[in-house]
Amino acid sequence: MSTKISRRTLLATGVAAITLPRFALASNPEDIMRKSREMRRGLTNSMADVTMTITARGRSTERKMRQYVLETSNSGNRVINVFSSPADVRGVSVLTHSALDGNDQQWLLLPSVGRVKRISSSNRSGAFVGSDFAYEDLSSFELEKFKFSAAANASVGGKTLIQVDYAPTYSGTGYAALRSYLDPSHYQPVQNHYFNRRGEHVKTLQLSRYKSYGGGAIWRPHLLVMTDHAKGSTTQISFSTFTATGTAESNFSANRFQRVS
Amino acid sequence: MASVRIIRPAAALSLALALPAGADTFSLDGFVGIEARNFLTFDGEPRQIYSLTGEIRSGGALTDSLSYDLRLYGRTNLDGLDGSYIDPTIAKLTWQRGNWQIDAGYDLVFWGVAEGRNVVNVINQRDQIRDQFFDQGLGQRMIAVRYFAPSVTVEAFVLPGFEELDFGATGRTWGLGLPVDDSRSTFEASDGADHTDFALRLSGGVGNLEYGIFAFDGTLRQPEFQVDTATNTLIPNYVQGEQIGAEAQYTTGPLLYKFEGVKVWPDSDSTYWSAILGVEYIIGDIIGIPSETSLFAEYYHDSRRDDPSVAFENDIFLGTQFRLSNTFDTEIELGVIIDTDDGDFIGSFNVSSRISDNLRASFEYIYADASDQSDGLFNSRDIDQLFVSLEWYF
Repeated sequence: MSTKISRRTLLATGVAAITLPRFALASNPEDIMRKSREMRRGLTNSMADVTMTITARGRSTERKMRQYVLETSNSGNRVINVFSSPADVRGVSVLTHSALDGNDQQWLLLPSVGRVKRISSSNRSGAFVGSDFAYEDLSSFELEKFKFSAAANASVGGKTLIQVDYAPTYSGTGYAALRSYLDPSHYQPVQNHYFNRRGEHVKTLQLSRYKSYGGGAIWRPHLLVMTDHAKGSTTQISFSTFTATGTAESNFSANRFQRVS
Repeated sequence: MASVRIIRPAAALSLALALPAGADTFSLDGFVGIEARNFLTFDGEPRQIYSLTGEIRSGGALTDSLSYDLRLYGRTNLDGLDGSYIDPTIAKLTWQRGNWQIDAGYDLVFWGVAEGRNVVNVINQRDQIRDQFFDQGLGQRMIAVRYFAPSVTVEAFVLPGFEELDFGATGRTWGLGLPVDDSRSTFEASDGADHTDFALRLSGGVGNLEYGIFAFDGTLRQPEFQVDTATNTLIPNYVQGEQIGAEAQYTTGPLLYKFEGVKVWPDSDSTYWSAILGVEYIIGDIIGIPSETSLFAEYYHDSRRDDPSVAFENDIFLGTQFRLSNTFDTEIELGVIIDTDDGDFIGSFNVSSRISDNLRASFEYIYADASDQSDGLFNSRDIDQLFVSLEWYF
C-alpha cells in the first residue's frame, strides 16, 4: 500500500513537473526575474559577432559589429560595440558602462579624427543606429532599474509560459510598462511586449535560438526580432556563438577601449 | 601640371606596413571620392577646385604584443592646381604589454572636448584642405609611450619634426586677406621643420568628470604671418615656444559642461592664453521624428585682444547637430561663430548622409560677414563657399 501511494505520489509529482510551470515555486515576479538574470550570466567576459538587419518599407539594410561584454558583480555590464559595416562607419566604437540606476556612462570613438568623446546617455528612448531597438532595449538588464508588479501563467502559442509585468523606474524611458514571457525550462524570455504611456502595445521582441553554455547553467538567445507595430518595421539581430575569451578586462575602460577592434 | 607632394618621407614605411608578411589577421578598407569646391565671393583665382580623394586603411596583429595600423590619405586636383598630397595619417607599429604601450611611426592624436574649435589639440598639424574648420589632422611623426593606470593615463611624446600647414593652390583664399606663399615658410628653429618637439600629458576620469593636462615644448603648429609687400603675399613663420594646457568635461544627464585652456610662451614674443567655456545639451526625438540633437554654445577668449591676426579672441559659437535615427546616418549641422565686439560672424551649414550601402554624400555651405577692419574675422569676407563630396567606401 505504501508502495502504491509512493508510486502515485511520484507519478503525480512527475506529471506536475511536466504540466505546471516551475515558477510556481517562486511566484514573486522579482524573484523570477532575478533567476532569469542569473541564468543568463556567467560567461563573465565574452565576445560575439552581431549582425543587425533593419527592414522597413520593403528595404533591408545591414549593420555588423563585434560585441564584447564584461559582466561585473556589483554594477552593470560593461560593453564595447565595434562597428564593421556599413563601411563608412567601420572602426566606430562605443563603450557603455551600464549603471544599476539606469544612468549609464558612454564613450564614443571616432577613428576618422582620432577622438574619444564622453557622450550623454540620456536619450534612452532614442532609436539605436536607426533600428527598431531603443538604446534602453539593449542596455543590460538590472533588477534595480525596474519595479515588478505581477507574475502569472500564460498560454502563448499553445505553450505555458511565465508572464511577468514590470515597469522602468529610470528617467528618460519611452515605456510605461513591459511584459515578458519566460520559458519555464530555462527562465529566459521568449517574448517581450513594450507599452507606451498611453498603454498601447507598441513593440514586440521575440527571442529565440537559445543555446546553453557552461554545462547548461547559462542561456543566451542568438536571434532577436523586434517589431515596431506603429511603423510596421522589424529589426533582426543575430549573434554568433559567444566565445568566453573576449578582450582583457582592463580594456573595458575609457582610456583603453580604442585598443579593441 | 601640379606634382603630387608626399608630405613626409614615409611612403616606404607605409607600403611596408601595408603588406605585413607576418600578420596573423589584418584588415584592408578605405574609400575613393570626388570633391568640388566653389568660392562664391572671392575675386581672385582659383574660384573652383575639383579633386579626387582616397584613403587606404589597414591594421592587424603581427604578434601577441605587436600590431600595425596604416591610414594613407591622398588627394589630387583635377584641374592641375597645386594642393595634391599624400598623407600617412597613421603608419605605426604598436607594442602593448600589460599597462604599457609604445607607438612608433605616424599617428593621429586628438585632445580636447569642445566642438567649434579646440585650443588644446596641439600635437597634430591641422589638415585645413580637408576641413576648413580644422577637424582633420595630418599625420605626425612620433614615439609615444603610454602608461595606463585604472583611471589615469600618462603619456610622453617625442615628436621628431612637424608638418607645415598646407595652403594648397597658389592664390587660394583662406580668409586671411592675402594669398599665402607656403613655399617660402620660415622657422625660428635652426633645424626648421626637423626640430624635435616634446609633450607630456596626464588624463583620466573621476565619475562624470573627464580631464586632461599637458605640457608641450617645440614648434607651435599655427604659424605667424609676415607680409611680403613685394609679392603681396603672406609668408608663414613657425615659432618655437612652450605651452601648458588643461581640458575638462562634466557630464550630467543631457548636459555636458566643457572647458579648454592653454597658456603659451613663444620664445620671441609675448605670452598669451586662450580658453573655451562650453555647454552641450542633448535632445531626443523632435516633433515625433526619431532623432538626436546636440545643441552647442561655446565662448572663445584669447588674451591677444588687440591683435588683428587673431580671429577668435572674444567670440561665441552657437551650433546644432541633428542626427536622424535612420539607416542612412543622416547628419545636419549648423554653426556660427560671432564676434561679440562687432557682430561679425562666420557660419556653416553641413549635410552628410549615406545614400547607398557604400556611398556617402556631403554638402557644406560656408558664409562670413564682417565689417570691423580691426578684427581677425574681417578678412574672412571672401571665404564664402559651396562644397560637395561623394565618397565610395570599400
